[in-house]
Amino acid sequence: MNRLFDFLSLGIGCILFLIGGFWVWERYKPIRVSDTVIQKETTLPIQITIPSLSVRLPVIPAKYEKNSFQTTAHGVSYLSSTALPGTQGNSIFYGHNWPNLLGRLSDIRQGDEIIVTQGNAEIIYTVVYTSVVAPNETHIQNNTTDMRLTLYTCTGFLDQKRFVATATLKDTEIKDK
Amino acid sequence: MKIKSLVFSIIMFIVFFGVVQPVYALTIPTFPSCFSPQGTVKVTYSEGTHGIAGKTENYTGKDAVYTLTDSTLMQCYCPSEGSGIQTNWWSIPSLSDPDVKVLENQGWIYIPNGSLWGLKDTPYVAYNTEYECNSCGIGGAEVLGQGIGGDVLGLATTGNLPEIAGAFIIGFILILFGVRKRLFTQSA
Repeated sequence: MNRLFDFLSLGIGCILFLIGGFWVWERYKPIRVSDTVIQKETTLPIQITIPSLSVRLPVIPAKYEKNSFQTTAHGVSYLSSTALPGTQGNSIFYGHNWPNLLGRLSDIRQGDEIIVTQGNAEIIYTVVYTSVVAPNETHIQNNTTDMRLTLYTCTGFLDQKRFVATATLKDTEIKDK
Repeated sequence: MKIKSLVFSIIMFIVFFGVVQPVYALTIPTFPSCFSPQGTVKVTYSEGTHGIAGKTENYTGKDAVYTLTDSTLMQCYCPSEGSGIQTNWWSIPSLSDPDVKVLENQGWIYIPNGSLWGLKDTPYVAYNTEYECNSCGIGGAEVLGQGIGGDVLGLATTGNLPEIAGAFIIGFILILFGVRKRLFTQSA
């Protein structure tokens, strides 16, 4: 009986190590943006680019469902019930702070550009300020009368805080097909 | 000739009073959906009991009011479960009785004095519709207010370091436990 417990402990321990290892691998695996190009006809944002951080990531529409926010390991989430980028209101984007996603977001500075690709349009925002907030400081998601983009990710000890970059619309460029 | 005139008169009477509908100088404004509210936040409540125009019962949950224009507001009520209620508020100070009748026939509720609802001291009409505030989207009441789902839920969880640390620590302890017991058993 004792041996059974030993094997069980070893087995579960190894499984937990494997799960932990998978989660670590997930943080570093490369994210392919090319997959999003085929969705160019959509009216939703498909890609977000931060040139100053050399970040270019797919955008995945997300919802608030069953008392939690949908998140993705394949890009940045766009809360689809908030304002469409380029329109009046606060467009909310968020993503994991993994090295392959928004791990370097805390390096963004005032004046840096955040570019959202939406169909054939590139909507360019300029960062006006950054902040670190607690998870319950949900006022950052308030709607606004200006054209704003809010991008946030986890930060701090054991991801207990949120780093928030707030940007306002600078320009919209339409690209030829 | 007299008969012709009579028939013509009757037809004209029917056409004029029977077919032609009265035209009222009322243009109903458009309202955005509480699913993606617009305007500026007038007031928000993360919880509490709220009143809904035209309904006698009290409603418990989140509530937010947004000012859209000088004459229009939007109230987004969201209970903890189920559908929310969007109330479109439209201030019309000079509303005639026929106008009220027309609007009431379209489902609007006449509120003689908005001050009882924390609004301007003028007559309002209100229109209720249901919207999904709990199934998807951040929905209604707290979207522009103090937060989505209140302070308990907070912002999205965008990191998993605690889970990773937990998996490795618990895994390590379990492996150590198993190995130590095996070693202890063998040496004994």
